[in-house]
Amino acid sequence: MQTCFSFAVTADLQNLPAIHHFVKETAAALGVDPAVVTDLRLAVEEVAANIMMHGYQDEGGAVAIEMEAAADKLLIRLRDRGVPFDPTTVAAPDLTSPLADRNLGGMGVYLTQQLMDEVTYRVTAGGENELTLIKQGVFDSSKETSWANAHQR
Amino acid sequence: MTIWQKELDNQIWLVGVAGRLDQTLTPELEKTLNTLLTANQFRLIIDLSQTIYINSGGLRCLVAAWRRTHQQQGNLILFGLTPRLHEIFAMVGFDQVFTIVPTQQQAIQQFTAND
Repeated sequence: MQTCFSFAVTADLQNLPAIHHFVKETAAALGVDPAVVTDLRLAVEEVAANIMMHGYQDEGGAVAIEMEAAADKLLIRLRDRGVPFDPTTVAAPDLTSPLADRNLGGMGVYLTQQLMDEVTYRVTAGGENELTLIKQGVFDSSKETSWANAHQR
Repeated sequence: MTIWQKELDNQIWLVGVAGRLDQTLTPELEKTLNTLLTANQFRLIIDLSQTIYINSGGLRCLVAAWRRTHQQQGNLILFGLTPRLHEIFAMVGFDQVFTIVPTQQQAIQQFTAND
């Protein structure tokens, strides 16, 4: 059986700590390796901050987050009704250009993609932006082993 | 959770970041660095040994200050990064542009060796 945890906040940067708390607590409940939690937190924070500042242009709205464990993958979905934006189309920054000239926009998006194994975007049937962050192999290996053993019996 | 600063010898300033370099501390770091840069202090060393987290806003703040030091033939040198923090810098390619050294002493030598 799959368990899905959901949470929603209004689009205000002051709510980022509440999102952190949700990610941390849910990751623990799902048995995610604690060493990965900081990565998840950073990725979710970058996405949520982008939605709040650019998607809603600081005018507020709702940001919904869902976390779900599916087989060996952790899925984190963020939904909003701000300006449609597909971060997966943002070009990767040119890491070889001199820092003095480099445009620093899009760094949060790039960082998110580096931290996660997969990032996908779609517009839902209800017209929401939905960004899905996927991380593989994040579950505590001791639990994974016991799960595998249970299935072998 | 604090930003602290200290004047060293040879016109070098040391700035420390203890805590999370995200929206909680980045505004304070930005203010501290801007004050030093406005006072024509372009030899800056940043102690990140007590920095437990950084997001893109924190990285941008450091780059902005780095640029201003370089425009004046100075530098902004980082030291004491935890392996995890170093990985974050590497993900965005910043490990190749910032001068990053293990200790404060090595950071100071980066400036004094060229004096």
